[in-house]
Amino acid sequence: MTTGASSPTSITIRHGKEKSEAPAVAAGGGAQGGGAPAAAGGFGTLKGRVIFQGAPPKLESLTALAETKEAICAKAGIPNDKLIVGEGNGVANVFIFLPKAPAGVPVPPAPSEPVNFDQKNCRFLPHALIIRAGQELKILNSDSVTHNTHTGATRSENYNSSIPPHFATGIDFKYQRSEAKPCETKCDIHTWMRAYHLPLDHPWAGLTGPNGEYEIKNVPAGEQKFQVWHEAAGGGGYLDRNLTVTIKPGEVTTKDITFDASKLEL
Amino acid sequence: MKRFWASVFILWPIVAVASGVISPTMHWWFPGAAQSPIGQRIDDLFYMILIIVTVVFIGTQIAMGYVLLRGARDTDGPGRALFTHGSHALEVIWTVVPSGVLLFIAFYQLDTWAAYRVKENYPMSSRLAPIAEVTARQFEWRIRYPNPTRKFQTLPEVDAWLRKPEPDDLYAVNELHVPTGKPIVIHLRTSDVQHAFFVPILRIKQDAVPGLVIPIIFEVLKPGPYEWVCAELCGWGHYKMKARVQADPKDDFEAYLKGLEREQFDDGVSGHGAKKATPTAAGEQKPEGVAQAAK
Amino acid sequence: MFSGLVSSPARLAAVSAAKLGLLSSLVAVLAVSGCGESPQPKFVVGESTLKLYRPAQRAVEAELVKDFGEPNRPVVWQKLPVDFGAFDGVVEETAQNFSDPVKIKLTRKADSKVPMAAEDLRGAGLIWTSGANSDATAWDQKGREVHLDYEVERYDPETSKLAVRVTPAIAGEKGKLDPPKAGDKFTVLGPVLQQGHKLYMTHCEHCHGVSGDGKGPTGGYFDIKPRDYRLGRFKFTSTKSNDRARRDDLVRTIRQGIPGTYMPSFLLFTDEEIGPIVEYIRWLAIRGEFEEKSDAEFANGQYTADDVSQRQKGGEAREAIETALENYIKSEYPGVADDLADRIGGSWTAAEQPDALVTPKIARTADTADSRERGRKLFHSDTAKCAQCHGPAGKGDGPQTEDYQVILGTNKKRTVPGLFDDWGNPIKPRDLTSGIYRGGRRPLDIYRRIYSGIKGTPMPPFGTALKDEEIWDIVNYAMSLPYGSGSGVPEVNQSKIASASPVGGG
Repeated sequence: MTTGASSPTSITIRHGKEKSEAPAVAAGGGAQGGGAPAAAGGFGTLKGRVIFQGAPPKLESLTALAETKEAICAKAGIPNDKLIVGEGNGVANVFIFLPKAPAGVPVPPAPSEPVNFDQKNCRFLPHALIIRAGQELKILNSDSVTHNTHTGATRSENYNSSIPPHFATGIDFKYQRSEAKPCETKCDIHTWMRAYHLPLDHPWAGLTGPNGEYEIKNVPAGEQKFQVWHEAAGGGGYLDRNLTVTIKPGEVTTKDITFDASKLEL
Repeated sequence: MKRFWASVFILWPIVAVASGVISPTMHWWFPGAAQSPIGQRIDDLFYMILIIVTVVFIGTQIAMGYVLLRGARDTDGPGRALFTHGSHALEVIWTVVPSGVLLFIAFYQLDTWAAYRVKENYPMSSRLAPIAEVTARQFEWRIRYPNPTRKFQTLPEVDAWLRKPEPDDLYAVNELHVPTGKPIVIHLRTSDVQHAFFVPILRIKQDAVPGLVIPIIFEVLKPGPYEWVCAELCGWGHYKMKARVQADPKDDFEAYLKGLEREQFDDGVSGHGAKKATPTAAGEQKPEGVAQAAK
Repeated sequence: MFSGLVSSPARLAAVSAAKLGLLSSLVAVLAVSGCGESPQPKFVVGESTLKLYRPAQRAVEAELVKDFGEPNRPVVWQKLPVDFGAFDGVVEETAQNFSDPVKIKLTRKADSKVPMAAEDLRGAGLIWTSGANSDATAWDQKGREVHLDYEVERYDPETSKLAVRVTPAIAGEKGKLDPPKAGDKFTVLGPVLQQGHKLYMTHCEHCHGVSGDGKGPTGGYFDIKPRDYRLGRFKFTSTKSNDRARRDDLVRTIRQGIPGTYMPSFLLFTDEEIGPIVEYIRWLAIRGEFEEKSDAEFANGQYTADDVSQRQKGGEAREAIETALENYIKSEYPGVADDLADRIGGSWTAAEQPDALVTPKIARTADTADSRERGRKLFHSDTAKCAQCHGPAGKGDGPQTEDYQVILGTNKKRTVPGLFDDWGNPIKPRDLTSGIYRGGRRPLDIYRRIYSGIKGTPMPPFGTALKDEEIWDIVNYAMSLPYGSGSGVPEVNQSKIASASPVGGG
């Protein structure tokens, strides 16, 4: 097992190509896509709802968990954000996104205004968000206790530091690169706190609201393959890996997504 | 044939004596002259015993060689071997003489043994100024020095220091600095299994036994780094417990402790750090948390 | 062959002849072959690589071999911020044949900072920087251009004679290799890595493993696991929370050991030993990080084994997935790997810069009862929340240690209560009354633990939430805890101390 110590090593010098010779890589060069450019001409809107079929399971409130540690938060009560089902069984916090920008479509630059990410009553607000790679995430704290925001990106350098109480100045953080699916942000001090961030290198993504409705504007026309992701879904969180939708220029396409308890992994 | 066997048996002690004489010139000997007075006394005892056993060895081998050769010669002749059956006088002689020699060695070495092994014999000044507490653990030596400003007036104070660390203690690992030129005491303990404190050139070897704090006394004559190892197989990493005893002249030793203190209380800004914690301030402090936990 | 009819003595003779023959042939085989080739150490494939779809997995493994080699055949990839060791050499006499030993002169390259004597250079890489060999090209039998790798065949520091070997050995055509001429210049690369490898395999490997995965033969028996370097994360550093470790941090950890764990002190290592070991560990850490980040790139393209099977279930054709993957591996992955090496290397380089270092802005507050009281209040406050993990009395038994945590990336809760580190090992908050400080007991060390947190563990960085004055108050309070009443270092039975004498110790 340790025999390597006795035999001499033989060094090889890596004669890599100069960097300029290597094929250029688009940021976040995902492996999918390619193919024919999306039908030139026009953009459409995709909207719809994500609906839970059947009776949604009741989730345990997290208040009890917090009681021993954070009386202040426990007072306000800590709902379980894992699965939020609103009116008409609409499911909140479902991500619907293109894994990669369609080829041949110019990608608009990331917005310059930051996305706010607050911590209030020992919950992350919002619980789920979509952000562009390189766009500023402003981390705030409205609580009277310190939180520790600890992001969980796999391709970018992460943020991990404590945010003092009543911190309205905000800390600016950027995900440098896109991710294939939402990554988990946690607070090391309050271990029940979780949030999901999806950094993307294009704008074609939507997130469902409290009643399960979503809308993605300016989607390049043509056949697009969306992915649908929710934190409570089994199999890595995917509700659908291939939601194929044909977007017609200038029109609103409606696509409802339904799933039932068998998809959940709680 | 018999002559052959006789010469083989005679050759062996000759080779043994010859190699014993040659060894020192070939560096097959002790790891240098002992660098501590107690080590020199131990060496003296060793040499005394070596001389006794050498004389006895050579004497008995000559006797044996004589018997073998004579016996061999005799069997070549026409005569028959002479059989004897016990000699009371001889039995008494070779029982009494070795017993006398052993008793002499036993009594002769008692002083040296007691000087090293009985702590009541240590000079009081050394007992009241312990240099360090050395804690052996798998697989290193952790060292705690009392702060140089700490002066012990009584032995119970030393015991109290051994029982409970003080905020101004100084810590080091694997390099024990000691002053030269005076008898010093260190206290040996172990936090896991049995180890042994062994400094070959000082001839100091002492087991560290779980649950015991064992004082060791020695004096280092010459400044210098000395090899320090563990001499009790203590686990798979036994060989890793290689360390160093660094003997310094008094001034250098004090400077070393000062430097250690500066390093240990370093706050990254002021070089020396803030004023060190005072024992009185520690006494005042009663963590409220304890009371809270009890509630 | 021998039936029962054969008479018994004849049979016995035959059997013993057969035995003798067997024995002598065994001896002969052993004499010729030795006791067999000892197995070569290998880098293990990381857990995240094993999760990839097979072709992707193979691509990552191939890239790792190309960029880092195997333990006994390491690759010097000069773009990495690792000091591989480099000597500049000049040939001082002209040789007859290429492989003849020639007198040379070596000087250490200025940018190679790790102390290293030019002694055992056997196997080190060599690049001709001037002379006929610097632009020599060779062709294989099919006429394709092949790259020539030179390495030091022998070097004798006493006579300064060096012999060079080339691979692939060029068959037959001697003319292709020019004998070294006086004045030819070359660079010897990699001796630090070689020395580091040798020392690492002797002193570190049995706990930390050949790949630095913390799974060496002795490592498995510990309740506190040896560090797995492959996340590129080290717990006790002097850098900011998102920075890598500095060389100095690793040197300090190796020299001082980590009290309270199985990492012993290696104080007696010389500078010529510790420098190469640290470079080797950094190289292993960078290799591990490179592997993990490569895997993340493939996972990002949805090429984990799990992804691919799900995608097939979702209606994608396997051939289509494989073609796309093959395209990606061929056209994009080399660039991605290059880019990864730049980014990871950049992080390690950044850690060595002065602004990565955590230095308090103000000196330690005087360690007074007042300061400790302020620290105690902060310890229990909503701002610092120390007691949450470290417990109300600092004993490391806060309420957090009783929670069943959610496993990251899943919706499942752990079956064991308490905290876990990034390597998935259970971890206990420090008992601050024990007087044992793993990352060092200097006030500066404890300041840094609070300021930057402990990397890879749930100990969060407080540099953004606490002012320097506040951190120092907490430091003063925490450092007073071992000496408070009713706490402390394990006490030894008083009667035993009184009676212990070396006589008893034997």
